[in-house]
Amino acid sequence: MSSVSWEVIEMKKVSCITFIILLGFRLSSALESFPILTDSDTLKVTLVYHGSKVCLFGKAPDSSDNVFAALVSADCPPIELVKEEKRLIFWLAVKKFKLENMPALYMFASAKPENLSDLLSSELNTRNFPADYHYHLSHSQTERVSGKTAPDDFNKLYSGFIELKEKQGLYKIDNDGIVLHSNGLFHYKFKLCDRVPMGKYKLRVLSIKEGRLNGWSEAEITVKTAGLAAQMANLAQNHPLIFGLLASITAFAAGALANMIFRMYEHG
Amino acid sequence: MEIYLPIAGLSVNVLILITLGAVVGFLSGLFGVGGGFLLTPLLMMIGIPPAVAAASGFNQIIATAASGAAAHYRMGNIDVKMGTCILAGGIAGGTLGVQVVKILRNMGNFDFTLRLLYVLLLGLISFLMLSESLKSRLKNNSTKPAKSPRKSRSRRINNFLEGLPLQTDFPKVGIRVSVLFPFAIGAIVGLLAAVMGVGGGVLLMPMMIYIMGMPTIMAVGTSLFQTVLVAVNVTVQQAVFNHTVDIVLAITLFTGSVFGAQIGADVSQKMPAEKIRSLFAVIILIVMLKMLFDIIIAPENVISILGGN
Repeated sequence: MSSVSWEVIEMKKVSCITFIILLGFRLSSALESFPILTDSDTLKVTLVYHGSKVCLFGKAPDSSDNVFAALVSADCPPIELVKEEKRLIFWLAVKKFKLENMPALYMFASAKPENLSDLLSSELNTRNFPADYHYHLSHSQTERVSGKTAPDDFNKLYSGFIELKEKQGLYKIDNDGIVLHSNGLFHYKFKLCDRVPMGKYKLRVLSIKEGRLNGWSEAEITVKTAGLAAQMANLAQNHPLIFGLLASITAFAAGALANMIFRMYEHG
Repeated sequence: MEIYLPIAGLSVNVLILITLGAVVGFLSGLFGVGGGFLLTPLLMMIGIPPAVAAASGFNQIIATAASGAAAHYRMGNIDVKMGTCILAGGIAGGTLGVQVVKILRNMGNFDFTLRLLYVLLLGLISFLMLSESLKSRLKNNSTKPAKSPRKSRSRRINNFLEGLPLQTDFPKVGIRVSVLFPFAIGAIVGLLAAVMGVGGGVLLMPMMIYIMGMPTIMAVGTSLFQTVLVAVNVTVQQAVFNHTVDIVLAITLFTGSVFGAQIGADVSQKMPAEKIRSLFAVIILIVMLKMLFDIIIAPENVISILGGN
């Protein structure tokens, strides 16, 4: 009896796996890949950098009625957050958390607000496409490092973290920013702030027709420091002793130079 | 016109930074102080992470202090023996302070500690300056001759200083004091330098003049001499252990501050001392109140990133 039920379970497992593979194949094969173009695939952060724009152009399949585009940092380094609470008259950090799998930068745009139906949500999940903050929150992991537990800690942590990122200009949802023409041509400008983290970014674009995905495309963008800014960041990180001495010598020389200039000025 | 600060990881208007440096340099030249205690809070107000503000602000102190120390060295106003004793303490205190910063940053309370220390320090300075200004006005009305700093030292302080071991002569400044005392005040100043990004002149000067009885001009030169070297030590250690020195920020700041300091020194010759002191006390009081509000008013967002960036 037990061997029969074991066979039934195994058959069910095989059927499920086959179904998932077929479903995945069907979803991917049903989607049409369409061309996209960005004005640059590498953003260089130099000493005069004060934010930049990434212009996205593309041609979605005909009769697409909406386009989703997400620019997400590829790396999600763990981040340590602190929660402030009032102690006596002061507000100070009393709890510490470690948050993982939240991207350093997340920007989402669409041609128009879209109500995510169950079907569309499941298609987006299958494609690992982050169409809102919930996607990231459901994939994140939080660990309390120190401080006493309180029931609303994690909710406050997530909402506070997103508020912080939005204020820094690193998280943004723009629900009707993409300009989509009737022939499928579309364009959008992602505005990156000066605090943009260095690294690789994935740009993923999906087109939608009547509440279902009908096309997709992907590109990669790299943000890196360049020129003197890169050399300084590299020196500070990899040779901090030389960097510290250089900073001191530069300051010392500037002071001595200023003194010399003013002495010359005083002596006519 | 924006400039990207590679260590702070953000852009700031270069004119704002140069103006800030010039204003702090001007006040520094006007009032004869390093200006670090004013610069760090102002940098924090324009969005620079506190740890970077303190470390880079201190880096620019090297420039202004070196400029002043060079001038005093030429005039023979530096007691190298006394300066070395204070410096030894400053290096010990600075080294300890860098580790304190590291621990506080890991705990997440560096910002709070820094603001609280500033509230206390700025509150104390503004109180002392306002009371000094008030005393001067009263003195001007009375006919009593003023006491010299050494004579005004209380007997208890005299007994304490004379009871300390390792009494040493400092012939250049004409005093005899235990080397432990300048070492101890150097250590306190070094600790504050690392944590708060202040040169420490504001604390060191009254100790040298009123407690040890050094002539004012020698105290100024010797204080600047040790400030330069303590600043070099703290800058190197902050760069090695905390990675918080932003050289671009420091260079932009001292572009303004070295010139501001010279202009401030010129203006100070033409303005009445009491007026300068009262004005300075009011400026410090305003900055102190801003810092106080920051730690007692509920923040807009109770969640923050550890280390500020």
